[in-house]
Amino acid sequence: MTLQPPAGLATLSAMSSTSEIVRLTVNGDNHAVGVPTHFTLLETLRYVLGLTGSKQGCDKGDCGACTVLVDGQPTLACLTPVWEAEGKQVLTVEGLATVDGPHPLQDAFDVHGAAQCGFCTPGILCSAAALLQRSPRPTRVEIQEALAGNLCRCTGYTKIYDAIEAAAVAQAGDGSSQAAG
Amino acid sequence: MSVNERKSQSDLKLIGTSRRKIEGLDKSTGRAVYTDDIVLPGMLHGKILRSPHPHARILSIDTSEAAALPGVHGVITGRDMPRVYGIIPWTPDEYPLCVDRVRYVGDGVAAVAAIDEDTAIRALALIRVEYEELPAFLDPHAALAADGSSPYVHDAKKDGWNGNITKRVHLEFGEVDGLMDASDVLVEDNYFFEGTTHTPIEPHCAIGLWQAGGGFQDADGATTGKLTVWSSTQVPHYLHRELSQVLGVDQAHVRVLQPLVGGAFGGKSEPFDLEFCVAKLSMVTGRPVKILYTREEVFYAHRGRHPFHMHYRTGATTDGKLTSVDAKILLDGGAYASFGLVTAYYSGQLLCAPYAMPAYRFDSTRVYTNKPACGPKRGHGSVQPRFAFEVQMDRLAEKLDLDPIEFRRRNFIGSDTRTINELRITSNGFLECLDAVERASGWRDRFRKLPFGRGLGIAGSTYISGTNYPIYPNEMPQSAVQMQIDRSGRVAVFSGASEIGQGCDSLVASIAAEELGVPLDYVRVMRGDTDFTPVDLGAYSSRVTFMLGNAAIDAATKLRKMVQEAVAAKWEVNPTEVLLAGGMAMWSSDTERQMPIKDAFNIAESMFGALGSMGSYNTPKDVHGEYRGATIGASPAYSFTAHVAEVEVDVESGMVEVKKIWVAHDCGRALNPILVEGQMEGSAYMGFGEALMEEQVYKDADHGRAGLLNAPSLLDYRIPTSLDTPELEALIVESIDPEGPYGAKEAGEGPLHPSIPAIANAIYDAIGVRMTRLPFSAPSVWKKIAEARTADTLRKPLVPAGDGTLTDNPARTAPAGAR
Amino acid sequence: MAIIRDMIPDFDLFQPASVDDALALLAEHGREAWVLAGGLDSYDWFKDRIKRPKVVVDLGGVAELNGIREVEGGLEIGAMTTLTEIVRDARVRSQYPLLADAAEHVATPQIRNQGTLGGNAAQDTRCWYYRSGWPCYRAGGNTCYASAPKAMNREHCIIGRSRCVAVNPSDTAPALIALDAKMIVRNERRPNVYDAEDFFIGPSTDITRMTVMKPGDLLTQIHIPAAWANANFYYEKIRDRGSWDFQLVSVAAAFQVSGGTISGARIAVNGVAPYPLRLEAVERMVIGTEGDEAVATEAGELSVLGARPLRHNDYKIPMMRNLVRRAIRSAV
Repeated sequence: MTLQPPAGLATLSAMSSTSEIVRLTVNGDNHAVGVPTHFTLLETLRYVLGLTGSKQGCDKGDCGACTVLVDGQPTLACLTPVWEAEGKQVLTVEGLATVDGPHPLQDAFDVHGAAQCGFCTPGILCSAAALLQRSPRPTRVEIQEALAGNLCRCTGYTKIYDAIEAAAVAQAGDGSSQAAG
Repeated sequence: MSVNERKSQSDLKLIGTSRRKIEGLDKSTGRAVYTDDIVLPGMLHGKILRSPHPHARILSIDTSEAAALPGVHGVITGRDMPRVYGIIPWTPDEYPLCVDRVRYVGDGVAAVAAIDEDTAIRALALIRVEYEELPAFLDPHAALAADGSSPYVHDAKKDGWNGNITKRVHLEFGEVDGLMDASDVLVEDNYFFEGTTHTPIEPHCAIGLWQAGGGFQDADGATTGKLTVWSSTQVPHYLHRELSQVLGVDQAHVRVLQPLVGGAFGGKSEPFDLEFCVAKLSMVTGRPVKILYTREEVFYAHRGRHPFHMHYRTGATTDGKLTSVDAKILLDGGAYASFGLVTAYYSGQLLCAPYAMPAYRFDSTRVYTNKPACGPKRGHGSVQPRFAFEVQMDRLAEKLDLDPIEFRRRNFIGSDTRTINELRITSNGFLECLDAVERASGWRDRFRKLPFGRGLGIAGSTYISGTNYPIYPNEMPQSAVQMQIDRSGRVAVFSGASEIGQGCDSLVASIAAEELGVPLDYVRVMRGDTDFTPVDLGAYSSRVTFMLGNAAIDAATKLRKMVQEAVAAKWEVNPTEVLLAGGMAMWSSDTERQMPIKDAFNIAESMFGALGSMGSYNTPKDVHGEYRGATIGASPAYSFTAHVAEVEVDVESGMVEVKKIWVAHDCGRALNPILVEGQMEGSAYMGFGEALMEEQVYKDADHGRAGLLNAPSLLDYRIPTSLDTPELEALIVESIDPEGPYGAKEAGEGPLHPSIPAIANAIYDAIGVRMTRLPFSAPSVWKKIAEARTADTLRKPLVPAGDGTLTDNPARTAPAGAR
Repeated sequence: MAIIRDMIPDFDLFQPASVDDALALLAEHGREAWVLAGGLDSYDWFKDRIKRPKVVVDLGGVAELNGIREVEGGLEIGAMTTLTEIVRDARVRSQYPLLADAAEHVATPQIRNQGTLGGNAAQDTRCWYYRSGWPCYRAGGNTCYASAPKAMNREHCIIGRSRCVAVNPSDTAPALIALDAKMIVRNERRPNVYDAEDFFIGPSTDITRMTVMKPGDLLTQIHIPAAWANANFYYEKIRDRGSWDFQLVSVAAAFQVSGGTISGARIAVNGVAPYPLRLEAVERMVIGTEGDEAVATEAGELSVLGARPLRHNDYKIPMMRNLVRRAIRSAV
């Protein structure tokens, strides 16, 4: 028996792709990029704009490593058609830090050992940043619910909760990020 | 060893405190570079064509149409790399791409490199492979019973042998049958551990770069080139060797680079097809080639936990002492040997602590089946038997009317001793682990006394801190570290160890800072490049902290002595009176007499020339018996763990909720407690996932779809989310091992083991139902509940009084009448 | 099936700005057209290269499909309203918390941010034989792999099979039935209004579809009638893991209670049949009772009458029975 390719596969071609100019605002920068219509936001960020902080873990919306903020909402970049991000504010992990240094969450993740292999970390930081925006002093249950779409295989999540709680304290300015360890 | 005698905690500055990881901020800012983040100029994208059949002969492969497709630069098949390899030198049985036979659905048969992924995918569809399908072995019992009437998964090594058997191990210690017969109580049952897989969040990725010419010549003087491979591997050294052997490139012309690895857990601890394919495709095309596995391919690559079919008989005396343990295990190995020879040994060899066993026998057989190959997953080979054995222990305790923690204490093997299978035990903090979880969980007030539906369970375990022998026989060090000091006061550490998230780069940095007295931010770690880092064998078998740590101490100590000697000469004092700490060199008799460390280094450089040192570590060789197989399971030190799990079981749905796991682990010394806790919590989490939901299963033979992986996605292969994971409380126990770096032992794998039996035993405490098959998902727990209702055993077990009289229990309410 | 995927084939994209334009496009392209709502299930299919439409009609720019409005006699929810908006909407939370509860049980926070109520209700089945691209009845072939003697069918149906044994995976569907929601479906010719329980169809009606919608049809609004506002609600979903998982069995129920007895009831179960299953016999049985333990037990028994397990899903019968029982217990 010969392995039969799925019907229609042979009709594909990268060279037949219709490219479009898509206007994106990513971390405050405006870009006009030419990409095939079927490109996802993640492919565009990683392979066109070189913003490799957002990770591809499954490419199917199952792991959350590609989570970015689109108009402040945690969004799966791997399942977002790139054109859906037009006219919206896209924020990736690279956009969390400022010229003065890392975002309180980023520092707290470092201090509290919340990133082991670090591959899920960018997506988790985006989910956590949206949470702190919505709920500046979240309970542990709120944190667990906010991270329910981000798989971490290393930590058992505990250190991640510690870090987010510490960052909330630091952000509120009523203590240092180390204090809530 | 001097380092441990010298260092009480008060002598240590950095070691023993929680610190940031040196790459921590890179990881939280998105700057950290993983393999797929690397783009080389002119890089092509590769894809691998995979078998749709579980077992078939390859009759022909026609790649001409694919090769002719515009945008395709190269197509290769197994014929281009026809050299067999295997991570264990005694069981080579794989080719980078199949040559004449495919052995599982997903086995690689051809690979292409093209200008982009779309074109590569399109080219795959143009490759014509003609197969002759063969009967497939999916069930390990059938594979074991095979008589050769259809082709074995691998050809038998000798006529009359069953080619489906990878390895059979039968070892017996003490009077197993006699002591079993003389036992006062016996428990016996079958257990099944379903296969599970690692699922690191980073899929495997590799980039190959072949640079022809440039003066590179082979042994015959012919022009050749240099091969560079970037890979998300946890064993760059073994990859380096295998690339050289399989591709026929001089090892000196092969360079392996290891960017940060996005999780591994044993799933990246041998070479995979993509690493050979990117190398060969680059050699064929002259361009760099990248292959990134799809998540589906990660599941085919597998090398995860073997399914174990286990039978245990365990005896004890009325005074609560184990007498005899008898195990028979069938390991379902999948299509290739991988580490399977070791797995077969580990399935028995690692059970002999923390309890003293007067007699022990195990008979383990690993068979090949036509499924993705199993291999080492966190707690390699010993998680499955530990599940069965710790449930057996719980049953024995109940039969003996003993509290299960007390029963475990009575059988404690002790420290500075040998196990029944002659493994040397040094430090042993298991009793302190039991004490810690007993206290923290409120065990004495709550075990058997929580309301019906809620329960506590205990389990213990041990694990190795590295294997005593490397994978290929040699007398060279297992780990080495190089350090150099520059004139600014900085220390550069060259480490070939594999940073997979556990923090080994930070470990060597903190050892350099501790020993040389520099601030941690004066240390730079140069890593992950076989061109300039000394060999470390890899991140497997929980070896890194112990072996790399000792190598780093060795390197740093040599430098420290030079600096002490130089400063001592200037101050005209004894070198041992010179302290290096806090960025200063000080005189121990008068610490006001001091100089900045940079000046001390400069003085030393003036005296000795440029400052550099090499340190290495090799294992002691007298830590095991002399019988065949005695070296497998031998380790310079063993860690010990105890868990208590608390569960709530909904008997109307079968849902088990694990509320909390208390994790006590003897790691020798916690060199960086926050990282040790992270390993303990992550281990317990991973065990929890295997206990409740994970299963790597395959479709059966209907409609010719045999052997197809059931759920090759992170949706269908369920790993726990934040909403599932129980509260985890890490309780560090320190036994200060005499040979570990500052007394440290492993922490990355041991703490996984007890999760599963502790949860099983907690389910029993909650509702009186014994779980003997994994996972404990609602449907399977429900079935056991239904059986218990029929047998009228669905209730809280009786409370052990310890005097032979089980007592009834105020919480022992009859369950609701739900069917 | 060992084919390497995860890259999306090319397609022609249309982004209409109005429902009328969308309907015109759907009419023009017929079976070739794929309606893209939140895009989650769609992109999953596309990346697997199992559904490969030539034309994609993206509803993201159709403003009139968004939002929650108070209308005469209830709430009107645009089909493109995200699940997160529903979860957070104060009116939904206070008057129809059953819907918020069901929507909150969908998948993950990110998927709820992107996924829509219309897309969730109309989603395709998760039968993994079908999802893997096997040529089963539902995919136009002539067999059902999931009901074969050695098949893996732990997640499949115990009721209502007809050649196909797949189940409806939607978390919101049973809640919509319990709330007596009306589904407004438009095409180029006319709007149709369906009761929620009639919107979902089984394989005996059409084995290739999960809902009444045919090519050219568009679900535009969902009307939640005020009749069931502030009723006593019960929702429970049993799944293998706490997030990003489809139900093994779920139940959604609404009860009206007066003077300590149940005066009205609507109960639906999902995960047990190819469509969300309304339990009308159970509703009739419990009305007029106090919903005590005896009634709840009898209701549970009644709910599973006629249920038949496949090889690996016999657990679903007691699970369904007990979930129905719990729902009744909660009523008063």
